[in-house]
Amino acid sequence: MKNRKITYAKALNEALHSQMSRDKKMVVYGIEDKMFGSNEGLLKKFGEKRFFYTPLSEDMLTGFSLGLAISGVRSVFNHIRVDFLLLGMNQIANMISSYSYASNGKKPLPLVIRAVIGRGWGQGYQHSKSLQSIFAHIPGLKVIMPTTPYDAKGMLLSALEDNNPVICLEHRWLYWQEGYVPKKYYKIPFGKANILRKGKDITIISTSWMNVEACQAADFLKNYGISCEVVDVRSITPLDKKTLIRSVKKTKRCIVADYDWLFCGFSAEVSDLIYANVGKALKAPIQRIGFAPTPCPTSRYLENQFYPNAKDIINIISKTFKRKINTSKVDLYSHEKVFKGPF
Amino acid sequence: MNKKFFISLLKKIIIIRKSEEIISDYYHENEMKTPMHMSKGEELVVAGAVVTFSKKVDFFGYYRSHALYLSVTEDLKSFFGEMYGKEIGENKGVAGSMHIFNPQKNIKIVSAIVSSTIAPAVGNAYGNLIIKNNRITVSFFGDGATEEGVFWESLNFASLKKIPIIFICLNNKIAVDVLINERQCYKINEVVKKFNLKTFQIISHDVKEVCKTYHDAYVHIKKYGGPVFIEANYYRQLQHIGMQTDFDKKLSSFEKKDYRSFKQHKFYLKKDPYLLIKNFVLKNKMIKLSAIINFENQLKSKLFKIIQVVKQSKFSKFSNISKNIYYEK
Repeated sequence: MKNRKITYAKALNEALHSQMSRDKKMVVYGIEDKMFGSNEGLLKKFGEKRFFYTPLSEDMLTGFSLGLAISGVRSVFNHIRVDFLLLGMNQIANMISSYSYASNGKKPLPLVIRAVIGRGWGQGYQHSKSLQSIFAHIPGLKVIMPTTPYDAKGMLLSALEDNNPVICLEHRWLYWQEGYVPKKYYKIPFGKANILRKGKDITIISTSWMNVEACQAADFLKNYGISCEVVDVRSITPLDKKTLIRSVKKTKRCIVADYDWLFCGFSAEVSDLIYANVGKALKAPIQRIGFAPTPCPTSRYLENQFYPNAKDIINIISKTFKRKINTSKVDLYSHEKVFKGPF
Repeated sequence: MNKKFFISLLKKIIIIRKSEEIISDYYHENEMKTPMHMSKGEELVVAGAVVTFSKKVDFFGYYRSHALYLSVTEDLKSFFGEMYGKEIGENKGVAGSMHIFNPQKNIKIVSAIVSSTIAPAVGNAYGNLIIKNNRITVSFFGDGATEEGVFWESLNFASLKKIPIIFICLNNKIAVDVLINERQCYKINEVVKKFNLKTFQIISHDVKEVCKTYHDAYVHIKKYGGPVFIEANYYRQLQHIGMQTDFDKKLSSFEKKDYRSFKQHKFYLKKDPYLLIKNFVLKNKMIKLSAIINFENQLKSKLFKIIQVVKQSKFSKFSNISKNIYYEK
């Protein structure tokens, strides 16, 4: 059954159906019913008491998930844009994250917040953030960013059985990507990075959509005799430090391609980790790649310069290896060419 | 509401009052290093709810948490352990005066961020509907919390979904140092009514009336479902923080407040919950004065011993409490 290919959205949908059937108390809510198809059929199958639409009260509804968890009911709170989750930041940073610590680890706090991140279609500066560094900065939260459909199902199922608050960040473009997903129930534990491409010359440590770009860069550079290892972090907290360090110890070169801003960001955290553990064995300085240090512009022309892509990765790597590789005429996959909105 | 009921209420109010007096006696030693948010004045409206609802509800508190914690648990050692920040404290020293709680003892959560426990209380109440355990949730907060957006969001959602929760707004008409008429353009109870739910108003001047209203609110939910709202008015006898009244002689110019009048202060001291409940049980011949005095004396010596034990006890190991960032069972 290795050829069972479904989309990322369908994979998430399978996880939700599976867990809601198993956990008869679990509820799912938010203002967005579909979440790009990942919530398909839940209302019909589980009824409006367990799957419901809400007022636009993000602050209240984030605290609501904490209360549900206190009562012993697990919930999934959906956000069609991570930017709106900031309205619930008080509950996340002041209440949810510290609950276990304050109560001395007495009670589980099972809740999942799903949020769509990243580039869409002229989304601009209030509809396109990622924010993993902000959530991961706060002790007490788990932050995951599944990239493949296989991970989407397995990691969401893990989140739905975790006894701690989990923030699941899903890139908008990933929902249409297809990949192998088993029909059966399976879980992918947090804190395990995934090697998407094996290589020996340089490691590209990536998050979310940057994995797609990194894999394209790796496949392209293979033709030039440069072997790239692409490591998908997928679990920001807890972080699989071992796999990251092991890969760079092998390749001795490293690029961190985080789908976020660089300053005070996750890429800086990873760079520090690599430097502290690989240090003098490095053959080239660690490089970081991420959003331009500005709010995100709306216009396509400007947006193209805001977001890094495979070509940027290729250019950095060719410089590292002192190779002249002209990418100006290379046509690589861009989801923007396929994506026609409206979101 | 019988004799047993009011004696239980009397004991709880005495426990709160005497515990806070002990805090006052020892605070100057600077060993209780936690910003004390005293409950003096709110004992009746808080303990009254605890006795009326007994074990049939889940409590969500706020940062002025001494009265709620002590009236629900009566656990003096865990309380003072927490005030001294020691391992035997309820939260092993990570919480202090503003955050003391224990979900397993039915104080589900409290918070120092104004209004932040209201939405979790609504969530808990909805969870109870899913679990079908017939429990009602009680959410305590102050008048200042109604100035936060999340209060109105919670009210809307609870009323919309007919969620069984009792909102109790402990209205002392002052938020830190700012009076209510300088902060609110509305009358709380009147606006809340517009959210299509049953509302009640009480004032902490009449023991029986307070408890009867709480009882009626509970009965209302049992009969009709949905949320109810109670505006429970009381007088905060001390300043927002610390052990001083606004009129203490020893106040520095920094500590002097002129937001409330001395005349008003004297009026409300006559309505002090501690006096009210004592007069009530004595007048109704539920207990003899000598028995009250006896109870208080025993309590005082018990408190004295507890303070000595707590002071001698050890602090938590940082490495141990750090393990509690996540639930790991």
